Amino acid sequence: MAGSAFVLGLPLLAAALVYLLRRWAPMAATVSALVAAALAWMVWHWPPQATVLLPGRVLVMGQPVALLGQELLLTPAGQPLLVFTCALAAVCFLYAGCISQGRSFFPLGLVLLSLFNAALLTEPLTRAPLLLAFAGALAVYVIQAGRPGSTRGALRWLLFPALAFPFFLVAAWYLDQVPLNPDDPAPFAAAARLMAYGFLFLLMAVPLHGAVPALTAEAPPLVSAFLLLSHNGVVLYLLNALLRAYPWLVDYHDVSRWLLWLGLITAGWSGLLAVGQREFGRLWGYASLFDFGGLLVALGLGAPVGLPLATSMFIARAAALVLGAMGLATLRHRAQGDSFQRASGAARRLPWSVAALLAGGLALAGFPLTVGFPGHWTLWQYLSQQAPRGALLLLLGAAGVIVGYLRGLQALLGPLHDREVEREPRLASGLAAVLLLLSLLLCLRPQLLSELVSTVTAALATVARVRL
Amino acid sequence: MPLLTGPWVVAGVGLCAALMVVLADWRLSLLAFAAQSVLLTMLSTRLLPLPWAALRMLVGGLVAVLWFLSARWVRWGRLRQGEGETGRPRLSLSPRLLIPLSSRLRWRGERWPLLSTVTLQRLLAVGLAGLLFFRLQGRLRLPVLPSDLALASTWLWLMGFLALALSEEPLRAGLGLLTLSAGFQLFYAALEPAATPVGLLGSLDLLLGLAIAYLMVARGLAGRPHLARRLGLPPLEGTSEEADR
Repeated sequence: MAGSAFVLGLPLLAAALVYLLRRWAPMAATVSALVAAALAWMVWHWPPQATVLLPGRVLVMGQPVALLGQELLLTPAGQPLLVFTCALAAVCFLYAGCISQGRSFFPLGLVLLSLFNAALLTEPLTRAPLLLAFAGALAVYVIQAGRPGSTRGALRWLLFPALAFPFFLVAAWYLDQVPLNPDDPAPFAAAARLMAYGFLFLLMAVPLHGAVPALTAEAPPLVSAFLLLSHNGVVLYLLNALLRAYPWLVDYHDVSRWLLWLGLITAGWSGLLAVGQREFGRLWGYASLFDFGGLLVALGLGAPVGLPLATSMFIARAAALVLGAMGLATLRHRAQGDSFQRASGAARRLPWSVAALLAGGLALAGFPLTVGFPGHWTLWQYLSQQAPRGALLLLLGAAGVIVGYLRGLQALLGPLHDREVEREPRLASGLAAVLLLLSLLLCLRPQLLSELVSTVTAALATVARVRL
Repeated sequence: MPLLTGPWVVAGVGLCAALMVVLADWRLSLLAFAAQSVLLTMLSTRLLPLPWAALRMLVGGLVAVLWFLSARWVRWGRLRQGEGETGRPRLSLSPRLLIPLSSRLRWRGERWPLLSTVTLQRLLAVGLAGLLFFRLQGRLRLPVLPSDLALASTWLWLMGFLALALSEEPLRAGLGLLTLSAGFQLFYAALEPAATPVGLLGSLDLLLGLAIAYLMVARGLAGRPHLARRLGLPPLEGTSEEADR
């Protein structure tokens, strides 16, 4: 049996079972989280070269599977991100068992996990955005989660991958034309241009960022965190893999420069918009955009610091987003909303959730003593040497996000808006407390991540060059 | 060139796409969408074998029926009564095509027939897009695709983007998205005339259609729990409180 078939098939099989259990949230959450965690463990411990004896079957992890004209293959480059998406899904499912994120999150979350994983395994790489479009169409149900009313978040999240994938398919066609006339530079230029357009839609950075705040404002928070992180992870993986597989792309675009400026504009603009927000969901969205801008800037710094720094920032981003999502989920559930007015005084009733919400949000801005601080501080130091104005813009953006959260804190510490607000569930506050401590530890001792970062960076560098 | 795949059909596709953007009545927009699917199937037979081309008609027809049923379920027309895309009262141009709300306007005691600002705005946008299109058509070079199909494909993209830009209503945005997709599929059929891409893109269209139908129902039931009960529609999904219990 091929490893890729196992990695994709197991969540799909589990989704069918979980669909039947979806009315019993704790049971569905447990099964979903166990499957996702088991998958993460397996992919981490069984590398692509491994052959594993299962009862009655031999599992060859690196064996490719041909499906619908494309090859699905577990590679060392994709392995870390596969582990990441599965582990992320496990945490999100576990918390969703405590604070409901919609019944459909468990079965559809597993299907989405399978689709994101498929995008990481697909060869040729140019087909992966099509899978992201399928994921976007399915994500609509978990984003809306049965809530009547505005459909902006779901609709916008659906649009961008659907608009992006055609560029990659046509770029792939141009690449196929290269062997017919290898001396003609036109197909190379066209493919490079089309891929650049495709990535503009997929990255969802400013000015095409509308999906992110809409998603965080309307979707259940853990769903937002899962979708944002998985999508970002797959897109950044694709960007790295395509640049390594087709190194001539940099002859047509100064990718580092583009990423640097795209990141700076995203960070600056989202920081500016974060100042005036009055809802935690939207504020969290702009904070995550700011952090994503920082991540793009880190990638734009180029070798040798760019990729390791971006990797460590991505790990911190994951911790910060999940932490913020946990806090926001409990706040929305207990306070029946996330506007500053509704959340007024919630700090007294929901101390752990409010701490998680603030720690997660401020970490996205790189605030000291949060998990995001080491990455942002390192970035700022490098950037201040290479582009002092850019560093200033980044600092102003961070200040905007921090001011937004301070305004939120003022509301959270204010008079209680609703005396009926219940206290937070114990399991939820326990999970939030564990993640809070973990993020504090990672802030105080960021070197704990250095081995993981170098492993991931080394794995990402193994993408083979494609001969045309 | 046979009559059923010639310039008249290309013009018909363009007209349907433009009508879909301009018409205020959602039923007529859906009809234009269905007609566009049929005409695109005819055009696609120049690039693909008939059974593969017919898949487009099948998917387009299914999606149109699905959206029609969803809109009827939530009484889409009445939902939008008195509201334009911006939430302001909508005025219309003629009773049949452009006035879904004539009764309300008369009830309000306003003069009739009146000019629809939203329809006019859309008409103007389509006109401007048309000018841009005719200005740029000399520069459009899509590889492999015959020139008339390249024009149809580009016009569909233009109208699709326009529909997406002009509205965030699920129905209108969905029409825009599938129009964009139709333009791309026409182009891609010339690049990769194979069963797998045709099937994959068709299934993506169907999935997008289902997602938009779901969003239409979610949007339509906003603030109208009595409607859901009266229609015997189950709640879309458990609320947080239900799940906690």
